[in-house]
Amino acid sequence: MQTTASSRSKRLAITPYLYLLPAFVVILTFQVLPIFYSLFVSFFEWDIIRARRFVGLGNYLDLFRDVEFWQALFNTTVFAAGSVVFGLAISLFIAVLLSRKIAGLNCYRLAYFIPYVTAMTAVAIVWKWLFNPQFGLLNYLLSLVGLPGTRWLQDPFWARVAVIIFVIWKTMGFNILIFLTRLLDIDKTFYEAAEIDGAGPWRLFRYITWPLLGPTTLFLLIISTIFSFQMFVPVYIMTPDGGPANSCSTMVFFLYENAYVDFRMGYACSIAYVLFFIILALTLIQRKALGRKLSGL
Amino acid sequence: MSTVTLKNVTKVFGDSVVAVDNVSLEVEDGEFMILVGPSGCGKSTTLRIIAGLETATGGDIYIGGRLVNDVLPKDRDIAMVFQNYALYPHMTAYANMAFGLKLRGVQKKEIDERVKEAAEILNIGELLDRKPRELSGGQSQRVAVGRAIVRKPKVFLFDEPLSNLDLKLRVQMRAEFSKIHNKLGATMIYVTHDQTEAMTMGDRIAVMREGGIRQLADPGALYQSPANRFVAQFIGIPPMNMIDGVIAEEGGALLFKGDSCRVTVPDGKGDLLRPFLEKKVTMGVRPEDVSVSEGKGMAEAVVDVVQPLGPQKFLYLKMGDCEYTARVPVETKARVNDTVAIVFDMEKVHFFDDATDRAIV
Repeated sequence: MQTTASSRSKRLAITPYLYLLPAFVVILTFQVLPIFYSLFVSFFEWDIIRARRFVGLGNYLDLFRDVEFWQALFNTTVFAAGSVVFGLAISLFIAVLLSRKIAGLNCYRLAYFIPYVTAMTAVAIVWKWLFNPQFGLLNYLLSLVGLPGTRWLQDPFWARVAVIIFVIWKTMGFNILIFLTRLLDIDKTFYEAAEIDGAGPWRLFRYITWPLLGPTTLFLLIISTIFSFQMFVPVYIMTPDGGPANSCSTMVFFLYENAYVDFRMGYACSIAYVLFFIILALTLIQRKALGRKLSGL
Repeated sequence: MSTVTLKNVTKVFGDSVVAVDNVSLEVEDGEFMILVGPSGCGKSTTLRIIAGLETATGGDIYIGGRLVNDVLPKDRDIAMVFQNYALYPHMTAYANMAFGLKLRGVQKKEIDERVKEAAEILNIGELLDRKPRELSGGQSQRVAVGRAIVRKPKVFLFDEPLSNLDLKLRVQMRAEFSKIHNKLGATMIYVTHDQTEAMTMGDRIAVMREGGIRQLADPGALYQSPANRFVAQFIGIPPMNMIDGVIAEEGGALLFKGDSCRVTVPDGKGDLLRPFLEKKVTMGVRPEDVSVSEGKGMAEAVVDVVQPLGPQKFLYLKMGDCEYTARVPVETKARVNDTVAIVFDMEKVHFFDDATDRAIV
């Protein structure tokens, strides 16, 4: 009797782990191991075909001397700053509007969220056409209001602007959704109390909405920054050659070119690690610098 | 002059939900007016209309003699304390109290003086640096009141400010509110569903039901001369005993014939009751006007429950299908299942017309 009971309890103890095993194996193989393997590879020169050659920190040292790396880092920073700052500002503005009681509210909410759930590659191709200087809709619309069109993706400055516009459009739905959830969660008596205290619409936003959105804003700021530093698909589709004068080559684009065009695997892995540390550092700085201010409830 | 006047104020939500139904009310300068009633009676909506947080569907609102129908809440010179306190969570108690003054461009020095003065009245001097989440319910309540006081408004509005506190604190805060009112001498309108709160604090009480005021009177009058059945049962704990019956005449004397009792109507009430001869009426008796004895009484009842309450006890009595409550001296020897004779103090009973629910006498 006792043996049966103890073997059953052993079997019970092992069961949950068996359920977890398949997912664990997949995550270990495709996520955890590559992380360490790529760190290992970053210390080698390797083109996949020939044998690896150990170069120590050589890849990293080369990287810091590589003009294209600095260019990519600069581009990425411009994209991140543009898409995060303007993206969050616009999203917040729209979320505030959508938190009001207006007719057709659900239609608007849906409309703003649709871009977020569409396939990135497909809509990037569509936007590439919208930005087309000769046949694109954007220049046509500009001409309707009497404004001159521009060369968009063929001009170094406007190419960056175009990519930022696209990224904002694509990610806005998510930001709006998160902002809106929090906005609808704010107790309306705070607004009523402040209204009686003497606040008009702007001061209600400035003294009630904005501070109470703090933790949400910080959260969106951090994840948007992380995502924008990993930007690849939009530039790969819209400017497959890195854009005019390399103006749209991002860190991940640069990594991709090194890995899968030039087959410099070791070098590409070192880019990946540098990017990882940059994102880590940015996240920590944001948390430290803004964390208290934004989440100081 | 900080009077508040409502003239035929109505509020309809949607197409047909009438929250406030033709309410007219005059709150005098410096008066502590209580709006009391069960939930959904329109008392909070009435208060919010005075505050400007809701727009009246019809009627006029005057504050200090000025028509304020189209005046924004911030320009009505009122302060409001909310049920959940509505303290701004990201500001300290000090900043919460200073906020309204800051928005009105009051000098820093004066803000400081007024906040400290209010803090002293409310005994919250040491809490000023704390954020709302570091305050207990009672402390938050005081800060919320402080936020109203510093503004020195014409009218204070309180929306069930004590309902989130425990009983002991509630009793204590009731006294505090009365003290603050005496000290500031300001006009205050206070909404509550708790009749004890209403009776202990108000100069006058407006009892509301289904969007309308059923009676407006001072606490004593409300208790002693309820204008209708609803007020009679709403005010007083335990509620007034209600006995259905008819008025009859026997040998020239008026009788009240109830389900389980027959009592002679005292001469003083006869004239007013005579028009209701052979009509259905309800006799209302306060529990303290019911006494029990072992001898012969007006009716017999069985003791169902005995609740000792310090100096007194409540007896829950059964007469046939009907249940009555008596508030008797603690020495009364009735025990559960005893049959006792009950006597009503007929000078103090009330009669209500069943057709209109209005008090006859």
